[in-house]
Amino acid sequence: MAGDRSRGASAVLGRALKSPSAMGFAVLVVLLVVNVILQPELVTPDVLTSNLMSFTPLIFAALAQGIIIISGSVDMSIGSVMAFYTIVGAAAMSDTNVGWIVLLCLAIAVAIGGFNGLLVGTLRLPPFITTFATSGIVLGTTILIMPVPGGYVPRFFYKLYRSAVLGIIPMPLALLLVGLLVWAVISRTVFYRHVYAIGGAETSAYASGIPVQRVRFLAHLFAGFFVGLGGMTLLMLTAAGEYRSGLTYSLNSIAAVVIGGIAMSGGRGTIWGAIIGAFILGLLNNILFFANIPSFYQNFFRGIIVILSLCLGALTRLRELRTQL
Amino acid sequence: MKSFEATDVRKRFGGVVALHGVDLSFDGPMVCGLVGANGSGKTTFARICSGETPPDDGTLVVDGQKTVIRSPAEARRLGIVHVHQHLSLVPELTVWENISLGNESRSGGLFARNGIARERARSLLAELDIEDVSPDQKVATLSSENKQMVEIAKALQQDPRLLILDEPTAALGHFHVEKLFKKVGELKASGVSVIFISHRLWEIVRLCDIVYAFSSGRRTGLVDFRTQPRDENLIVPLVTGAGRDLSAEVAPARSRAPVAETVLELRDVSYETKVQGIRLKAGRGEILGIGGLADQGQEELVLVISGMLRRTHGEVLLGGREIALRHPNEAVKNGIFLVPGDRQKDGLFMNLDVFENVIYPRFPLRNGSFFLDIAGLLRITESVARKLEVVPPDPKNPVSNLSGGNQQKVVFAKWLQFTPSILLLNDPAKGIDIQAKTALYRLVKELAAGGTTVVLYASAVEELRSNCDRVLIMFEGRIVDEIHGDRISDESILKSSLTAGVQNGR
Repeated sequence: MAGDRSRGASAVLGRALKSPSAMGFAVLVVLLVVNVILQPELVTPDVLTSNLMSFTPLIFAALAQGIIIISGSVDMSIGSVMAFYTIVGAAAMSDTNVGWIVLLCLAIAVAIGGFNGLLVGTLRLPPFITTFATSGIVLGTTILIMPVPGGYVPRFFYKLYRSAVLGIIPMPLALLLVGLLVWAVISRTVFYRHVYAIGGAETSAYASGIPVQRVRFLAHLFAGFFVGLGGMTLLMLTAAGEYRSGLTYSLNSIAAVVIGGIAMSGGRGTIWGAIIGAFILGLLNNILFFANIPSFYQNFFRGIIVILSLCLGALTRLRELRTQL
Repeated sequence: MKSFEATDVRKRFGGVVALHGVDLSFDGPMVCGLVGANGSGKTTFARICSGETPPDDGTLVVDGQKTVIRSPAEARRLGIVHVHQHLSLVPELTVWENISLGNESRSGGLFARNGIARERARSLLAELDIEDVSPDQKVATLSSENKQMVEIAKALQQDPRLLILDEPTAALGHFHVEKLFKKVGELKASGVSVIFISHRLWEIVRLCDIVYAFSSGRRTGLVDFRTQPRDENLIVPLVTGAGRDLSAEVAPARSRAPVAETVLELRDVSYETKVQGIRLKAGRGEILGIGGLADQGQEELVLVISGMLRRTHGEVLLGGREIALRHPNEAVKNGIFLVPGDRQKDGLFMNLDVFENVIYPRFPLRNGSFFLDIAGLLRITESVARKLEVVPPDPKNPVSNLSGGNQQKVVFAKWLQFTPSILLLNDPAKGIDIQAKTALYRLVKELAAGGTTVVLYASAVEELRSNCDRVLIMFEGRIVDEIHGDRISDESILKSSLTAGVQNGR
């Protein structure tokens, strides 16, 4: 934005502190420092890459959840759809058809997003319970296809995820960059502005002549693409079809975007917040692991940290809240 | 727009008939006024013209073409743009984003051309002569006056052929009203027609070429200023439908007894930068007016006394005793009641019915038993509703079905069941028809006569003049003048409001 041209460093700092993602970013830096102390080798290229590999599915899920929540909706089916992707992928893949299956699964993810969009956007059903129901349908189908972990994932496919583009850019990073590129294109559209408008003040948006139902439908449809990428990277990461591997992504993606400063009420926040939030949750798992905290405590500590970072975010908005009341 | 014609437009909401079949037409670019009491159907009519409310029946003919308008987007294609009484801005977006919202300039049909939109916003703000708004500001940070101006800029951005202004001046101070009127004149000269809705008859008389009067969902009359004199008295009988002169009822002389006992005292009360070091005393049974230009901290001052805003400095004393006032709850317990300006947001539970709204204040007061005496409360509600002439008088009617004036009566009804020691009125008659306004102020005076201290902020000078014992004029958060007793007149209040700024170097 032209109006953001620098007016001195302090002004830039002030603006950054006011941004909804500021607290998320601060938490991220703290966690990064803690993580490096516990695990000094984190900063080596190999460890960074392997971390990025495990974070990437959640980053894509958070991008999808981000745009949906900004549009004033929510998607509880993201985890099931990602699980569905890995199951269908693992069940259908052979050494010769990988490309087709990847595209097919991506198309299914987009279609489920569109289905949610139809129910939540066009028919105006309440999003939380509607997408929860979709989630049940998808998960049921998934378990029907493959009740126990298995399937076949070609070696070159999951090796691809562990390779580097042009020998230097790790594959997960390359995929993320492609995702961000798509996002950069979308964020320049009128549609994207309308997503913020319908999430922030639906009746105002309607009175401005914005087709509220269509925009919310499109938000879900578009998010489906990122859910698909999340499912794909999850399949490449785990190299097996297992429905349980996907389930945590619904709630974790919501936690990630909220930590990143996207308001559950919609209309407020940025995708950078979603990415920051996903990194925070990822690093948190690392720290718990390297701090030798038994895995059954991980949920406990994750809960604590999520609430702490939400409190930090609330602090920055406290003045604003008080004047609203 | 060369011609506009509406024939037999009908609309009902549930069991309530809003429009009984309205005919309305005008030719050539002109300013067409709509006047009428609240609930008379003029806003519903405007919303039908702009596609926000589908009519049940009736035809619209625009420039000789019969048209059906099903959505705001369709109205826009015809060049009909509605500036809302309740703002249609998205607070989290910037001024320029809001101005272009829904009508973005695109390249390739998809991508927003932000540079162009921003420049357009800047030039529109300049055309309206608004200097203190930056296109890059978030709308949430604007004053209500500037929000209204941005709303108008947003409408102009669509190059309207018919601009509908629904009470645009309610939120505007004197200077901005002038800016708006100048712009409306320019629009007419360039071939744009304007439908102008206002309760302020002098604005109608000054601005319009032709006026349609509405009463109870019917078109009750037409005054054509091109052939008839510009006289408010021609309009009043059409609006009231009775032909009686209401101005005498609006301003009955108030016997201004000398004030004895101080009930409310403020010592150096500040709220951030909006209210600065206010000292005032108000006596038992006194009606203390707060006036001045719009948005000079009057509303914030009232909200501070009500506990809605927490003061940043100073003391509030009630009957000589300091009270903490950290929360509206403490105000209510001390008998300080607020009638807020934005009744839909702050005054009412819009989804609940009249009865439920009226009984809510009982809960913070905790003067009831564990179980609610529903039958007894219902009787109280009915009697208060009757006293205030809430139409319809059904306690089980959702307040969202009521007209603006009747909604405000329900807000009053919440407090009337108790005896307030201090009643705070934050522009209570904004957007209320003349009869409802008269009824409300009659009640306020009855309460004052019974010993209640009233603090009244009103944007309309006439309300202060005809109701207050004393008027304080605020400018930039400070009290700059005090007008007593016989010196109170429209002229003295206006003059003081306007010259306050000059004295302070503006």
